[in-house]
Amino acid sequence: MIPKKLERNLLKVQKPGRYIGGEPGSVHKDKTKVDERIAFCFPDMYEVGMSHLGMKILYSLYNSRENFWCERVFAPDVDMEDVMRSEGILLYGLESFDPIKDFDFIAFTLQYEMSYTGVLNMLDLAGLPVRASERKELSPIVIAGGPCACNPEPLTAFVDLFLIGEGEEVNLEITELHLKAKNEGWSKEQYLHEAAKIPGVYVPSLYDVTYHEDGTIKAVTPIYDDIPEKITKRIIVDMDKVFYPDKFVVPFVEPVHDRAMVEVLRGCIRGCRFCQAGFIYRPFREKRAETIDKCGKALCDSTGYNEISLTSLSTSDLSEIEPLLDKMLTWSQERKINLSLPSLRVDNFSEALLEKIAKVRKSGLTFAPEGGTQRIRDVINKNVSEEEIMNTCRTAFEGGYTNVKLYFMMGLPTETDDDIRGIAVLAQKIVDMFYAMPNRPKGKGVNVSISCACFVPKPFTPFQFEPQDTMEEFDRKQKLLRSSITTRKVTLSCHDASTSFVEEILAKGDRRLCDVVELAWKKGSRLDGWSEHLDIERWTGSMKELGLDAAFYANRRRAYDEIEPWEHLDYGVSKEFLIRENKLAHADTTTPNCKQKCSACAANKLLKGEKCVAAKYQDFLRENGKG
Amino acid sequence: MQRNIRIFFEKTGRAKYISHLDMTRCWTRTFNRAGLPMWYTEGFNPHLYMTFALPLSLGFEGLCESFDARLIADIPLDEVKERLNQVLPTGLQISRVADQKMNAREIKWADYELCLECENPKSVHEKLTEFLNRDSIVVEKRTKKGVKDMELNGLYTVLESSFDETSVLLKLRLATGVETNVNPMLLLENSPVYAEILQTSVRRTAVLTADLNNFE
Repeated sequence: MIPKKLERNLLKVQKPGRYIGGEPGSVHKDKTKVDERIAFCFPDMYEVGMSHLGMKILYSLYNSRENFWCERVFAPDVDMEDVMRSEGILLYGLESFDPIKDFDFIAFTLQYEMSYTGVLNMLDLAGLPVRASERKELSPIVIAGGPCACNPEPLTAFVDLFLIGEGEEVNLEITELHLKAKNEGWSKEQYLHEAAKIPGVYVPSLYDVTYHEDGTIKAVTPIYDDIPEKITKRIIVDMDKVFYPDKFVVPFVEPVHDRAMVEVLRGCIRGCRFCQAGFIYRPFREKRAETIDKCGKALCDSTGYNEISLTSLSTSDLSEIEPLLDKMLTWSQERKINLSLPSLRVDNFSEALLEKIAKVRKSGLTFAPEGGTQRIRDVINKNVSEEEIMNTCRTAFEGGYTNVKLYFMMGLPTETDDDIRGIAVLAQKIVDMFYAMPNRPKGKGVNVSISCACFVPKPFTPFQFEPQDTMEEFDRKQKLLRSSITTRKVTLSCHDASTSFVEEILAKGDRRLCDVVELAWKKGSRLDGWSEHLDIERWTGSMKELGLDAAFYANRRRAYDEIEPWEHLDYGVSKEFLIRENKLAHADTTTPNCKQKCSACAANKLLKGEKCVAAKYQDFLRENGKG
Repeated sequence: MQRNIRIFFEKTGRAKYISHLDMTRCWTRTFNRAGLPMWYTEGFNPHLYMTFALPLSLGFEGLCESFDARLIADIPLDEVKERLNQVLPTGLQISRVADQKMNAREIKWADYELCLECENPKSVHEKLTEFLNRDSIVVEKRTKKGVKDMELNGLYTVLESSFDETSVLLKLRLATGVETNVNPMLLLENSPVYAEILQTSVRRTAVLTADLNNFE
């Protein structure tokens, strides 16, 4: 039953369906019969959070344990927040409507930096102090994980415990430990100290940070002898056997991605030097076609979705991609289920593949050359040639597509104005090719749409040492690009540079930024992932008020031997490897992908003796008679 | 094999917050989960064919809602009902699956139960009774074509009215259908007591033809 106070206000807000739960697939348990209650919080709105695969996996995983009950929580929209604050409605779990402050865990997933103030706002809406030090009880413990946990320092004042790496095992381990702590009457400090001994667990309050006079970090040291100096991320060694849900919560209100999703692989072989995901999710591990097919079919059966996406960083790199599509098409076509493959790569996008995905429905095609010239693509190690881009577009046009969307970045290391103009030149070449094709789709014009993002150098990438372009420089380059486009067949959209600037400060920030995050939140920052809610002044103003220099974080080249704020976390890839790659980038030199040749990034140590991708690929070739 | 069917269902509890647009997606997935082969529109973007006789406003409950769809396999209608009910979310429940006996154009009236929570039910009831007994109630109705005046007299009947310690209870019959459609909130919003109402619960209890037979 919906509580009366909530019920009275639901029709006053936009899309009340976001606040009532009860969707097919949601899990309801008897709260008197569970030991641990977990509030899985996504620090953004329902439509965004319900698109997130990690949440679906962990929600099902927790709930597969009879004595754990995991509920979903999202950030309310501004109108709902006003109602909650004025009516005294505390942030609640969508399944039970119970206030999450009474739960055992409040778990956040950190998908992007712009959601950090959303974390604070949700803790506040829950009726809890935002600062970890002011929450004294054993429950709730505030935990966080996800890609941004690879540099969690700007959130260390608010979160009790970070989970580093993949969560399928460690989430359950810390919950088990918490149950023990409750049964044995431990204090919160006792629990955190014990938890910090579990591999993959980082308890920031148990680590001291000291600084040099110039503001860089001198050392990060554990305050106890029995917790690790370096926290190594957790991974699942055998992806083919990892837990995967056979049910999803199927939302009523339409989320951004409204479809079934089946994860096909983790990690990426490519080593694009700008891409954080490409490094922090290493090593590359894949599922077998048979497992993916079975899983996908079960999900379509249980959810009723008409679309299923094969999800990963680079799905066309799946060794068994073609047999997989053949298998899936045997049941999907008849049931009007659309297969979608996000993150296709231009260099291995075959005609056969295109035909397979186009069988149910045609939509636009999206590619990411990232750089406008071959030189800059070599710098960023996007091993894609102009010829491959042109061939892919030709294949797409021949297949009846007339819209192609291309993603680029500006502000890449070593970038010159020629590289910026190169983006416009490449787009023009694609337009020209379309009109030169005798067999082009008749009666339709072509549209090449270019989306250009501002590059944000990230931790654990070879570009972590690089300064970000200043806002003035981004502005100048955006104008240059706009003036280089001379045809209406090409449409350009540029990202807002100020967002990227804040992202960079937070991505590479240290503990001193906690105060900035808190002040920006107090000034009203919350749903900053939405441009209509972001006010850059709240961030720059907070930095100034607290006497911190934004350029120190965002626009400074960092020496190879500088201790980075995230260096006590070990994501597998070694710093030596990142330095090597950085030097190669400055020499315009590419690195082969992991299947072609191992580049000794060191992430294979996480496999505990199992073969990494290069060796496995050789086996695969032998088995298929190609080696 | 194709068979046009009409599905009668109840929408109550949490489900009343599912908007009409979201309902069509919800039903498509319900048919898929039930494994029922349904007819899809042809063309560029095929979708499961569904026609709702009388969409329900967001936040209203309904006991005799219906929509039409087309079955493309020979499955007994009772089985269709069973299979759908097993996979429907809480708050949605099918009462009957039948052939389409009438045309949706025959719908002329609908009955509503309104529960109006307020501080002073006795006085609200009194004022409301006076309002509903007026010879003429002219209101502004916003349509897609703009704002126009509408005379509500003759378009509603009060079937019952009462009050208890917390609420005023009202049963209304309102003109409904393709030509004239009066939402109970239109009447309420124009009443002198609207500001005094803390919360309104609305439930559609019957959908009727000109001679007051149930729509079938």
